[in-house]
Amino acid sequence: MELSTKLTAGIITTAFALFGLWLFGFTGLKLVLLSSIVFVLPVYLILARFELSTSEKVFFSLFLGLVLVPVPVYWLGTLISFRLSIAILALLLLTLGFFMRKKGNQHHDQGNEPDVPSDVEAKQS
Amino acid sequence: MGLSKQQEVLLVAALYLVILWFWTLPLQSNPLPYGEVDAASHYAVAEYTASADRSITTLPPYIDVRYGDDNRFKEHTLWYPPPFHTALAMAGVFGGNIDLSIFLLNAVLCSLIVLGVYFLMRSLYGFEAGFMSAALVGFSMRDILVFMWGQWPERFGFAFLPLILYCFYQYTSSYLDGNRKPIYVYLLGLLLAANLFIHPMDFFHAVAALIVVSVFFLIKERKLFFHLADVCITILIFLLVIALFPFQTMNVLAQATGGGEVNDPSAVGDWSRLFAWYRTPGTDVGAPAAYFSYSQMVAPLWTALFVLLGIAYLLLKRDRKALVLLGWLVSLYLMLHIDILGMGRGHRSLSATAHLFFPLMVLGTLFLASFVPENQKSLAKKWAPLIFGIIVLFFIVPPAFSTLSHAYEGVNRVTPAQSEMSLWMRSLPAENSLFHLGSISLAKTRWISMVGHHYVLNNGFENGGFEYVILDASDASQLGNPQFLQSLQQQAQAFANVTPAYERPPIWVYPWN
Repeated sequence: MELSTKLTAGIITTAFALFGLWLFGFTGLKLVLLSSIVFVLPVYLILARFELSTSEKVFFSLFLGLVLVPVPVYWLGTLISFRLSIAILALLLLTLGFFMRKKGNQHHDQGNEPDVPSDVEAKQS
Repeated sequence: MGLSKQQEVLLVAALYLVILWFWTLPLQSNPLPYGEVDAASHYAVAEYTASADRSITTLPPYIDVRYGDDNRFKEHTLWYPPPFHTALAMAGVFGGNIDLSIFLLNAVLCSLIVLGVYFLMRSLYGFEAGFMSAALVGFSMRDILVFMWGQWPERFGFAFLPLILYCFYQYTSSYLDGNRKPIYVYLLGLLLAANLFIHPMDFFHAVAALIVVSVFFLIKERKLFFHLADVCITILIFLLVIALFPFQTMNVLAQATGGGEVNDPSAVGDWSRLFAWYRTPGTDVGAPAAYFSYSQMVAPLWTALFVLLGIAYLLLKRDRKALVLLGWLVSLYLMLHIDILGMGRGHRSLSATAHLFFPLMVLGTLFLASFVPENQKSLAKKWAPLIFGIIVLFFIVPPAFSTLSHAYEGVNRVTPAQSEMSLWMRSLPAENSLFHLGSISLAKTRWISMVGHHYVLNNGFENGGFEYVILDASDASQLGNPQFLQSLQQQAQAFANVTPAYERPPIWVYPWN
């Protein structure tokens, strides 16, 4: 049975959230959900603007998000409450991400489809 | 195997969940902090950020006493670039339970090499090779031990190398095939900058790998494999990003150029070491003897044959994919031997071995599968890595489980009584120091110090320099060591007429003049 990308992402996020809840209670649950939203999602949405496969976007957003999202959080956290800086930057980055994704979708709708995802090449070879 | 992309993703996610279950074993029955002194330092920076609700610019006193001069460029500031510890602090905010959340996210970060290896190997050699390589790396004892001890940033930093090599491969292949895709080299610049932020040693590993792979590509292709404008933009991206933390970036430069104590003096000038993959240090570098054993840290010795088969496979192929892995292998060899020149810490680079050896083993099975009759070759190439991987897992999973499930048990970790006392310590004036009577190790005292937000000594009592004394009989009574207990009872006589500031037997805290 073929699953859509969004459904797959939803299943995986739910599985990790339940895993966190099962082993570590609400601490684990909150950690999984908020980390996904703050670390990964903004960078994934920003990368939607570029010609990358879905798996590339997922992996790059995971690795880059965990390192680069904390950068503005750190600097803003030197001036104001660390918690508040997380909230502000999360909102800003998500807004930027949705905006970039929208621009990326418009770019594709105009007939500029991305090339065949590079990780399909290994399958084909 | 005929899996759809979504099915592959679900399988990998399930694999990673299983591996995470293993890597979080130390926390499942005991959520209190654990590790050696390195772990305590990383915890301290993240925990202070979350609990003080402010990013650290100048180190708080209790961290500054020990780490104040670790940043050679600017003292009394963070000696690591902030992102890693900031991410852990953010986790502390997300989860609510700061201590547990820090350790949970850290388990994810330190095990991300599993996904990094999967991503590269899946892209180069297909799902089965990627899946099995990742599964095996998840039970690498060296990775697990170094993670438990507390070299957290170094673990996380190594996860970037496969992605960096992937970007290099995608960009150079696209350029050489006449369909240039600069996004990959721009991402490479970002990943390199991120790598430098996490740990400089991992960054140098990545740079070494890129240099060696580039040389191999030049030899094979006999022409340039990049557009100068793309590289210039990448360098600009890299420089702009690392400039975001000038004190810490300059510290890397200062450390790299400033020289310093060599970890293993016996290795300096010993060129005979070049004839071995790695030789156990002649000096005590702080790791147990087992750490240098292939069979105890990687896999049973017979699997080394598959590593060699994998290398032979790559040498025979010598296509671009093979050059990427061969370049990684040669660069790792170089980094393992850089201490001959009096530079680096070779034994730290050893912790990267499994990330490459397991994929090489998997490629070794593909090599063997290539000898199967043509009509069954396709089936053999799909099943060989899986069968081999399952067999090896039977050997490497049990010791990994045993190590993780018994990690820092009993008095080897901060106990609930010590944690409660440490939390009380936070109410003391920030400039006060304490002395830990009853300490069983520097690591234990350091943890009490970091949890309690105050500097705590455990030797040199006669020198003074502290305002309080912790009389801690909790570990001694749990160990049931009569001499230890007797010694503490004698020391307690000094406080017979002193009213304790904190009293929760068997731990007391006395003011000290």
